Amino acid sequence: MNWRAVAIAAFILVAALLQVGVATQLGLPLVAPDVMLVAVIAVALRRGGTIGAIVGVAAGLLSDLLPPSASLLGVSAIAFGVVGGVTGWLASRDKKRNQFNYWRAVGFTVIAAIAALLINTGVVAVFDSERLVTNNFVLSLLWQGAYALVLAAVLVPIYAWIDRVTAPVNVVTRR
Amino acid sequence: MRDTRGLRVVLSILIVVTLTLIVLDLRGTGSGITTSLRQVVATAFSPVQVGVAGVTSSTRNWFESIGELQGASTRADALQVENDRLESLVIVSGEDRRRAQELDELLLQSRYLERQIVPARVIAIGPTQRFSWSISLDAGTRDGVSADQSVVTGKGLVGRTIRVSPWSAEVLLLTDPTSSIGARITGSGEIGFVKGTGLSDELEFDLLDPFAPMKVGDRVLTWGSDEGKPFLAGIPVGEVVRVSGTPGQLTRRATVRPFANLSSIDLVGVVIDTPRSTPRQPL
Repeated sequence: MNWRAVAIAAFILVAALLQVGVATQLGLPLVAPDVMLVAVIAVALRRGGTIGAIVGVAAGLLSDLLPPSASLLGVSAIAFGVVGGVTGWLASRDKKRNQFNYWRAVGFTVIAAIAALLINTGVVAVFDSERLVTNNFVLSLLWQGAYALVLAAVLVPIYAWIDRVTAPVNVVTRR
Repeated sequence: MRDTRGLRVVLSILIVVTLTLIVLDLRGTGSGITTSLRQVVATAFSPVQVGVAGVTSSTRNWFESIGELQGASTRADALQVENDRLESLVIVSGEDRRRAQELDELLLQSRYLERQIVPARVIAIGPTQRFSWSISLDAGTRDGVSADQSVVTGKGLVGRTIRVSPWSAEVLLLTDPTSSIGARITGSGEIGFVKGTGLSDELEFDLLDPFAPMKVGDRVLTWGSDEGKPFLAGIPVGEVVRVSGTPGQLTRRATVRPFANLSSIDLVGVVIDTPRSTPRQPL
């Protein structure tokens, strides 16, 4: 059994529950902390672009399907997929050059979270423009980044630990 | 660029699949594949969400009392904190009282509307990053809830149900940008449409008659839809807080603050249909 895949699925599911059950109910202004998105980025940073993209699209679809949601199915899937793919690729490039560290990971997460909201807005603007509201948009982007910073500080090390624990025993762990 | 080839291929395939889904969902009516997918996920997740919602509210109470414990440097402070803690205990027990009061208000609302109301608790709130303003309730088809029914609090309208699974329902809040509600000003009876803006305390109200009088403090009620779906007539929506546009312009627009506090809703009621069985008395 591939424990790593199981661990990723469980990690994303827990993030999904925290997202709709906790993060959005804290009554924070403008946007809620995007737990699922940061979870996807945490996986991508560790496992690279291809897995990042696949996990991103799957998590995005789940996020669109999870009640309550009135948005189109697939809107977050695109944003999560692109962001997961690109951050995963950037991280593995940096690892090859031995430039990857914790702070870089957190930085990537913040930029990726802001990029995801921008992509999301773009997709909504094209397919579902009636829904597009841009009240406090810049402020929303800043908050999105700030929440991602806090979440990344916690979720990135947690997933890194999960990934180490669930690594196949007879194979040398890839850095 | 050779190392990114696999990634590019995977990413393009995934994006194409996702775009297909978006278009399917966009064109989907009633019983499309995306609707059944949503149904399955809603049925599977709602019991877990009920559990998580319970934990969240008790954790929030705990954190609030911890917050009050900090800053106890002197004895006076400590006593103050102790006092605050006891007060917070009162508040926690008051939480139950608040629920009871909300329930009472709902009961009044139900008498006023002369319809049956199914009480329900909010179990999840949708993330606004997705540009949708919606909530989940812990009541579903088994409780008599169906799609396109009005959802109210004791104070006023909250929104309408859009999707219902056996034990849960999704509600489109009136703050959602796609929400548009036929509404009328009390007193003058002038009609218009209330639209969501994505802000929890502001709605847009467009009067149909540009010359009709409208002033700050005017109250707005739903005018109702055919057979009460999705909105019944006479549900309080909100109060005019700002009027923009002068008489004579094509439409007059006002900002309306909803009566229901949408940023902290907990207990709501779904107005379920009870068709009229006794004929109306002629005057």
